[in-house]
Amino acid sequence: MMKRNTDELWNEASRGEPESPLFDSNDVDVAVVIGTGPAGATLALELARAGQRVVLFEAGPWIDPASFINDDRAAFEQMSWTDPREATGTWQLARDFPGSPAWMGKLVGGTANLWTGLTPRFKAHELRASETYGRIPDSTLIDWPIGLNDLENGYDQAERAVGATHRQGRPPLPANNNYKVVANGAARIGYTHYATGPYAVNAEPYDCRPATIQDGFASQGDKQRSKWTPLVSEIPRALASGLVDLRTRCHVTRITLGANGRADGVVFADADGILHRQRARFISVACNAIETARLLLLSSTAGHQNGLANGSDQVGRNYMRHTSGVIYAEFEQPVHMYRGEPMAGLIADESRHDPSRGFVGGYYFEMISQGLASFSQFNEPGGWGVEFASRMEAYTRTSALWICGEDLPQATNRVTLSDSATDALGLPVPVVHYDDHSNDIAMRMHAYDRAEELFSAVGAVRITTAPPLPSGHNLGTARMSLDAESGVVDPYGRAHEVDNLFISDGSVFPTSGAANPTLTIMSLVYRQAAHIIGALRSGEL
Amino acid sequence: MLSDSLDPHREALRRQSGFDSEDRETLMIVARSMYPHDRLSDDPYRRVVDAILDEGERDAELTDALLDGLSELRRAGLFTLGWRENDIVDHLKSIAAGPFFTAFRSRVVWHLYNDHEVWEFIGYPGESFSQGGYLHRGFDDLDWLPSPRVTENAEPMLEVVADLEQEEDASR
Repeated sequence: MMKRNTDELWNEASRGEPESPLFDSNDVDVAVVIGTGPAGATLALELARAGQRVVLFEAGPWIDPASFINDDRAAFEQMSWTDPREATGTWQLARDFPGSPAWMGKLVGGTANLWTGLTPRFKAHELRASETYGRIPDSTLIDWPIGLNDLENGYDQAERAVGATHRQGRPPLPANNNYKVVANGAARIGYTHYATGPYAVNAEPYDCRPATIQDGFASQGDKQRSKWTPLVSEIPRALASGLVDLRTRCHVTRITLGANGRADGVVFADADGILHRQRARFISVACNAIETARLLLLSSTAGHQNGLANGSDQVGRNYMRHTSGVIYAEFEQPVHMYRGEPMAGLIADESRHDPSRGFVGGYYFEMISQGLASFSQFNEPGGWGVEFASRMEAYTRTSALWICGEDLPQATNRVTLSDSATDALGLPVPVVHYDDHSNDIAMRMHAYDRAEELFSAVGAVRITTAPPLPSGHNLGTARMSLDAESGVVDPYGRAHEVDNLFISDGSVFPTSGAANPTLTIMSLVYRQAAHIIGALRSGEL
Repeated sequence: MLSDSLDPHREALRRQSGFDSEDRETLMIVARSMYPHDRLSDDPYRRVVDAILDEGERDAELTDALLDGLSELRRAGLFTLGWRENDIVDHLKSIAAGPFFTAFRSRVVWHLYNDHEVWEFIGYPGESFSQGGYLHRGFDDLDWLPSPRVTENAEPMLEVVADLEQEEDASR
């Protein structure tokens, strides 16, 4: 089955949404996986490979990549999770984008359809953040209950699955114009750890996906299919296995418990808002950190009054989104940053832990480009006037860097349920509260300064620092811990309080590290899948 | 006539019948003052105003904010021909926290830089997939800097720089 040509799988899979469910709603032996992003799709495929039947839920639609659109605005509307949300706290996003503090996908393949593909690994010391950084006031910093050695096999598997450049024998991507600017700037200020990846877009054909044509629209779903996403990789394989029942436009609203205290199924709303049930042997939640926390909170029941698996009161807490910001630099000569892979450029020199800089943890500089519509939204939210307009006119002479740095967990940065606003299904919307930690602010300021030096070294004539974009990296709201008091799940992502409930997405991260999270999410899922399959075989699940 | 436009009866009529051509022209001028591009024609700004007024037909709160903003402009004497851009900008700065400015500005920036005539003016070509992307159309044609390395540095990075204070504490 795995040897078949992807185009064949593609033709089968892209017939659209299955007309009828594969498995019965009362089938108590199926696994239920909620979410089809990198976490849920990877888990569903691994379970199917082991012979386990899976019902895989996706709140959004199936969209064929041929229907993706090379347009910022139209693609955003086509793919984004636009259900209402509220943002509170001191972070600037609460002022700039109060209804959309986070950016996630709502379609098969999840937020991977929006990502661009940088795949750095965590560093060993980042998994021992508390031990390495010492006591940090106003933070709930803890060490991961696992080490880098526990992640390495999964990292290898994930790098092969996504075809990461620079890894597992994959070649690097060539330099595009924007990379030429940032890499030369990096070299001139003494940085040495820069490259065009690792990046999950094919430089040459791999895994039945073509090489990039450098069209510049990776964040808009990538019509070319050269970017890895579950939609063009795990999902068609999962469907071809005959063991995965994909239910699109089905929004899970509650996880239910049986009399024995184990999860016994889910309630979900179909595309018409009609509620149904699906029984399950075990359940995985992989809805992105905001919706995962929300679903657990919505599933409160006898014995779990404050939300499912929330005796620790940690569900929704310790929300992290990475310390970030954007630096735009204008030149006298053309750059045309919109040409080519938008984020195929990574500078790692500042990702070290070096307290002499005035903060703990590190950050990456990542190349970024935006279409004109996005550029006008993010260059200076709320900006106007002669100077703003002149920056817009300089668009084709502009280069940009994005900051991606370690964000410290805080108990009060949390996802809760609104007590007033509801969504189309009548469910309370999530409220995302976030206050910047002084460490985040110090790191951001340091990064702004270093980026200005970098761009000045290659002749920038005007530099603009901009605040964070709506968060694409959402982490920490159901964190992993050895003991049941300081977290929600064990080192395999199994809920401390519900034996057959697993969390599989970035919600389980105890700390954010500096790395983009997708590769680590997948590494954890491979490890979790092996654990689940072992437990199924031993009869423990 | 300025005196007519301050007439409360006419104001009431305007609220019933929507926006006249003078209103549209004034909003166009305000949009231009917010995001001035001297070499750009009025057409994109007119399209922006049309889009915002269309939205107003489905959003009474927006319509009210626009009408209030127009009244403020009239009171400030900025509704007749012969006003100067600087006067408009000064007026806009003075009302920047108010509902008209907030509602209008955010929509102008949203529509203006998504207008294809503006894209052409600035030099953003939009979609590229149908033309084979930029693989053979200049994704790497920047020639004012040398070609940088694309592979990773083979030397491992120093990942943890010891904190001198912690070291001193440990040695005590």
